[in-house]
Amino acid sequence: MTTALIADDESLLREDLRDKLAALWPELQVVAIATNGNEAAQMIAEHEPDIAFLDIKMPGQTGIEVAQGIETATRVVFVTAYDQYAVQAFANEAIDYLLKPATVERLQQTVTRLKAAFAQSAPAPDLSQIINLLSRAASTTGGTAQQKLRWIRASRGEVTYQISVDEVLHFQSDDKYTIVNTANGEHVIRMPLAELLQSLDSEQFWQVHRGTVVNIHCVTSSKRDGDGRVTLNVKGAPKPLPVSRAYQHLFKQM
Amino acid sequence: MSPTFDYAGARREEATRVARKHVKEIKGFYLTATAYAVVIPSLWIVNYAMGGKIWAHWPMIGWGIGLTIQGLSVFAGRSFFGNEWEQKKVDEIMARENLKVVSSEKQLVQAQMRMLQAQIEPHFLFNTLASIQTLIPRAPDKASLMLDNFIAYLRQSLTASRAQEGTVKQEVDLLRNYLELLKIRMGDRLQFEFDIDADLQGASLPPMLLQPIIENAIKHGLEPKVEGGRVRVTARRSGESMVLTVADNGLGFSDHADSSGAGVGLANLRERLAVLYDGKATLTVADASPGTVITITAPVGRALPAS
Repeated sequence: MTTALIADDESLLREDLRDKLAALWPELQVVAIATNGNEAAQMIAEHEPDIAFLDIKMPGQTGIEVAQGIETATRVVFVTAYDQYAVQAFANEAIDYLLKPATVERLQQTVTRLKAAFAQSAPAPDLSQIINLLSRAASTTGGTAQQKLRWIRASRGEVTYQISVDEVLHFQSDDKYTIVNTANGEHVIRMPLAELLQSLDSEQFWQVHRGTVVNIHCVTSSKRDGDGRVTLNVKGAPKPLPVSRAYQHLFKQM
Repeated sequence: MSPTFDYAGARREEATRVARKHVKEIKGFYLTATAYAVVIPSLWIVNYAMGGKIWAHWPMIGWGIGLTIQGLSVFAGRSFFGNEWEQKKVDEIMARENLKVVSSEKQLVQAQMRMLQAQIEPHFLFNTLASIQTLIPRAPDKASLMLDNFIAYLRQSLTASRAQEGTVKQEVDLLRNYLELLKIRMGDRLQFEFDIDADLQGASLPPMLLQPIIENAIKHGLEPKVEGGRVRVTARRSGESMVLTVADNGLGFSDHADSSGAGVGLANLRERLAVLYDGKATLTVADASPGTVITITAPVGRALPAS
C-alpha cells in the first residue's frame, strides 16, 4: 500500500489536495499532513512515506530545503502557485509537479505516472539538479565569488583563530551561524552556510545534506546500509556523516 | 510612450541647434560692444588732445571709424571669442538643457513604474484564486464573498495604478481589502490593525505607495514565520507633515534569505518618493526585533502635480 504526506501552509489547499487524491487514488493512504516545512521534514523522517506532496513556499523550511534533507526513499511531487522559472526547471528535469489549484486532469496525470513508477519500482528522479538550480536562484549574494576562500576566521573569547579551509572536515549549518568542524574541535562563525557556500571551492567542498558541507579531501569512504541510507567516513571526525537522497549520486561507485 | 523613439536624443539635438544660435548672437553683441568700448573713448581722448577740431572731418572719420570697428571686431572675434569660447558657451547652455531633459525622463520613468505597479503579484493572484476554487464545493457562500472581495481589490488596484493622485483613505481601503483576502488564507497566522488619524483621511497620498510595503511585510516578514504575526498601519499628522508607519513582528531583514528582493523594492519606493515629493519625503527602515518598522514622512498637501 502506497503512503503519502501532504505539506502546505494553507489549510484549504491541504484539504483540497487530500480530497482530490482520495477520489482519484482511493488506495493511497495519507499518513501525515504538515503545515510548515519543519513539520514536513520531521514527518518524512518519522513516517517514511512513499510520496511527499511538498508546497514550495512554506514557512520554516521551503519545499526545496525539505527535499534537500530527505534521507528516505520518498518520491517528491512539488506543488507551486506560480513560478515560471521553477516550472520550466521541473519540466526539464522530469520532476513531478502540480500547479495550485490542482485540477483533476493534471492530478490524474500525476497519479497515473506515480502508479506506473511504483509498479515498475522505478528509481526516484535525481533531485540534485533541481535543488541546485532553485536554491541558487533563491540565494542573496548573486554571482560567483572569484576568490576561493582559503582561510576561516573564528573567534572564541578574546582569541581569533585562523583556520585553513584544508583543515576543515565539514561545515554544519546552525540557523544564521555555521559550525566549523576540524580535527581539533569545533568553531562557530557568524555566516549562514548558504552564503559561505558561495565562496568555497566547489571542487573541494560538497553539499551532502540540507545543512552539511563536507571537505571531500577528508572523506575516506562511504557506506550504504540495508535501508539505502548512505553515510560518509571522514578522517578525524568521530561519527560518520549522513548523506541525503538528493546527494547520494555523488558517492556511487564508478 | 513609444519605446523606440528617442525623445531625449531629439530634444538634445534641438537644444544644441538653439544653443549655437544663441551663442552666435551673444558673440556678435560682445564683439560690437568691445569694438565700441575701445573706439569711442579713444576718439574722445584724441578729440580732447586735439582741442576739439577733429569733428570738422566727420564724414571721412565716420568711414574710418566704421572700418576700424569692423576690423577690431574681426580681430577680437578671432582672438578672444574664438571656437573654444563658443563651444564652452554652448556646453553651458546644454548643461542647463540636459537638466530639463533628465527631469522629463524621470517623469516618464515614473509613469512606467506606475504601470508596473499595476501588475498584480502572481503568487497572490494564483493563491487567492486557488483558495476561492477550493471553497466553492465546501462553502459556496464564503467562496462568493471572497470572490467579491477579490474583484473589489482588483478594481481598486487597477484604478490606483491609472490615477496620478489619491487619498490616504483610498490607499487604506485598498490595503484593508488586501489584508482581508490574505487573512482568509493565512487564518490565525495573520493579524492586522489600522490606526489612521481622522483628519488625514482626505489627505493627498500617491496611490500604491503603501501597498508594496505591506506586501513586503507579509511576504518576507510574516509568511515565512511559522507562527505568522501582526501588521500595524498608522497615519499621524505632525504639523505640516504626515507620518505613515507599517510595522510587522515577523522575521526581520537579517533573518531570512531573500531580503535582497525587499531591498530592491524599497530602493524603487525611495526613488518614487524623491520624484513625487521633490526630495521632501523620507523613508526609513528600522529593526523592531522582532520584525521591522517602515516609516514614511511626507509633507501634507499636494504631492508634485503630475504632468
